[in-house]
Amino acid sequence: MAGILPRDLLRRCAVSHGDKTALIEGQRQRSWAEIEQRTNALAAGLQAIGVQKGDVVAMLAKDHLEVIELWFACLKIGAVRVGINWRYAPREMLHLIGDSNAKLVFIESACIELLGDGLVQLQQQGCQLGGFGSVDHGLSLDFEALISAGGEPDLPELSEDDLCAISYTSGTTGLPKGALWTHRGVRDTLVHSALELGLHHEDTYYSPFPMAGVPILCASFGMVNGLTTIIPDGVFDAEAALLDMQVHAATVAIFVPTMMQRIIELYQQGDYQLQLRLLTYGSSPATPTLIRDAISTFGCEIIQLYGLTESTAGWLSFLRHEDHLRGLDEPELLTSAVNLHCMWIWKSTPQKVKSYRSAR
Amino acid sequence: MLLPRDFIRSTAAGFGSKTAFVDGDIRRSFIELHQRSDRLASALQAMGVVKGDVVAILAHDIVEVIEHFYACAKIGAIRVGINWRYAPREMVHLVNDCQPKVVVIQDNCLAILGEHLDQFAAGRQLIGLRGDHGLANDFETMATTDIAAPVLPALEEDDDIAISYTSGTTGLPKGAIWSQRGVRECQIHTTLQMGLVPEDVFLSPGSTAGVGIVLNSFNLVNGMTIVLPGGDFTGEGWLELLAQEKATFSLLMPTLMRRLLDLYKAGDFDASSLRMIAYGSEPTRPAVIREWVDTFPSKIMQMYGLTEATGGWLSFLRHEDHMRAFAGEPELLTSCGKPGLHVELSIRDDDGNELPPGEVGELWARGDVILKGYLNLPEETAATLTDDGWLRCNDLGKYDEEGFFYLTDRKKFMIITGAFNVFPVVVENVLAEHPAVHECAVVGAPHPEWGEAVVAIVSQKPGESVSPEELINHCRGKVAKWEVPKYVKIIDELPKGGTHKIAKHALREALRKDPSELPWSDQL
Repeated sequence: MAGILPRDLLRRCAVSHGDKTALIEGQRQRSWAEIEQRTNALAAGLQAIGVQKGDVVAMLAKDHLEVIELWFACLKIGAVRVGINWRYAPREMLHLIGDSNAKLVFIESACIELLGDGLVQLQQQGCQLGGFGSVDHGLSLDFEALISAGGEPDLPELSEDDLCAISYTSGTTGLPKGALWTHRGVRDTLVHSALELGLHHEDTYYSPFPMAGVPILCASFGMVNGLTTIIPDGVFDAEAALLDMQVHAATVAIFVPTMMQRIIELYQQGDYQLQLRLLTYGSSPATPTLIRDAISTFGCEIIQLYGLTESTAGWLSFLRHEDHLRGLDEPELLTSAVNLHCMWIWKSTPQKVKSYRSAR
Repeated sequence: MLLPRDFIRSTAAGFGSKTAFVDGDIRRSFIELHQRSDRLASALQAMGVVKGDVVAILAHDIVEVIEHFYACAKIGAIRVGINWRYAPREMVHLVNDCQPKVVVIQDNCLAILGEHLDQFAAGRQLIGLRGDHGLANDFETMATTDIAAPVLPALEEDDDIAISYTSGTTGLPKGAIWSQRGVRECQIHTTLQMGLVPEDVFLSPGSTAGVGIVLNSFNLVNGMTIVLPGGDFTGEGWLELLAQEKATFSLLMPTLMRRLLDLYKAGDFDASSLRMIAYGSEPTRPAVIREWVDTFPSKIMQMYGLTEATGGWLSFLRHEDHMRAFAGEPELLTSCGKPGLHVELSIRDDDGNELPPGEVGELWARGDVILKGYLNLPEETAATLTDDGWLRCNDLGKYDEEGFFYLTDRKKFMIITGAFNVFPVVVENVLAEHPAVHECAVVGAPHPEWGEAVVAIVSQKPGESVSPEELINHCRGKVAKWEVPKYVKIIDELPKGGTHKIAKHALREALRKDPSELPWSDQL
């Protein structure tokens, strides 16, 4: 029997939490029912233009609801999602598109110029291109038009072991490499990380990271328990983040330490009212000073996560709040304990990626 | 794929010395649980237990019950919990049905078996647990003696992990076979849906013989602490543990909620740590829910599940749904909520066709938590499970346009009076609103003209008094004429079954066997 797939969770969120807000970006909000309707229509639209199970659909964009909607649509029809980091050089972007053999690339209007001459190259190669974000993107397909056409997708049979995404690492040498993620890996990352973090249905979760890579999963926690996720409107801005968290009563947030530092500084200078109960951070350790500041400023708990692209994020280990409190007196704990005290080894490593996509 | 035994190991690695269980004066850490269950598993294997063998346990709600379950889960043995509240006849039935190779018996349960002990133990190895049990093998010795590490057989998700006997509303208990996958999925998704977090201190009602064993292992997926009732649930004990352990979350059956409300109001207890309670296992009177919310500081949610769904749990009525009910949609309090994200629910007619919103039919459920079948009952299994994996839940219900499910009653308890179907829960909810009513049950009793008549059995709140006539008048105008009880019997206390539920089946059978007290008995 196939286990629960991410697309099953999405459908059931619409059934059981239809009216609840799933996603917030600036002034835009989507309920779980709207997400279901839009992603079904988008999935049907992708299939209508020839996208099948196993085909790669890429997106070059800043952080918008459409990034998540495309991801969810891919999950439904077995297409393989690739996020292209808009901060990459054109050479790297073209490498991703070529390496993944993307059948279709959606490009946010504001990001078209980032491709430089690459756009013409893609068009000459016959790569299907679609646009969103403004009506005059000039590309042959339109994201909203596909959704407006409506329809229901034909759901292919999927197994847990099927690919659902290729996530490119920033790479320390050479060009980015694509880690192959499975439906099982995504599901287990979301389920187990939500359990470890103690996320619950009533949470509103602020997720500011660029969603080209691993952070697409930060923006997907809602599918396992129906929580609400806030993403920045395009790119992270600390002031906008504080306002978003205040207006929407965010209870959980994730930052990197530098973001956290900026948020604390602005919060202390301003007059914000937040309802954070949990701050999570990752990508690098935080100093005792920063942790003391965070705890005393927000009065909330704090957890560090460690994960990597090759474990479908994971997340692999968690430095818990009580460990942070110990770390204030034992500062070495804050830098090393993530590996010593809290490492969870998933023996059957469901989140392990299948392989790297071999370079052409 | 991760199995429950993997979580035992990983919680030991990740939460090590954190308290996993509190049981009276005993505090067991995650690593101690892992080590003790490893030793027990080795000892069981040394006794000849292999994958697929049944190892049963007859005990109260103590931490060793958990250790026994973990040991079984590690070596592929099949766990059976024997409810100590069963009659000896039922216990003997159970062991004859599941044929355990080994049975663990707590010392204070040996006397329950009495003259049935020999029959119970025939051909089986026994392990004594706590006290001066006098048996050849001792649980504590096994759990503390290092022998070779257990040999972990290859296990599949579809392997049996437990047989859980239902309390049974007709006849003898029947064993629902659970899979490794079903237990894991229930642990993961119910924990997620309940919003249990690693920092929670979960005050358990016990009930570890049946589905409670899954509930009492939720901390395998999130590392929280579970406080057991220290043997058996008592209201005073729960309130004391709540304050002592600063419990944050609890699960209660409606009858326990009633008891706790009475005690809490009469005493001076600290419930300030409690952030949420979940309730379920049988329909809960809206009046009780309202009283709880008015009395205790916690948020509230309802869960619906059943043995045949490995607990499940299948649906959840959230705190915000309760608040909507109090704000002007009281009917929501009679709902069991919306489906959990790991299952599908459906209302079907007798032919299996899906029914539209508003129409009453039988509740069906599908998901990885559904039982594999009933032990030794192929016909019952065939009648319960469809070829495409749906479970017929035997509960009647409907759903509304928003997707809230409402369970009208167990199919077996529906009363057919004249040409009308009466769902007892409808009448019970109305009776429960009378200020003098403590608990109530509505059953069908034989009637010469109508086939069955609606009869209510009621207990009164301390210090309160009400007559049967007053209660009948109380129901008039609030329920349909054919739903108004034709006879009301007032007793000191309603009988409870082994899972703290009102023993409605027993009440009904009593009237069927001896209807002499019914006003129309001379016409029967």
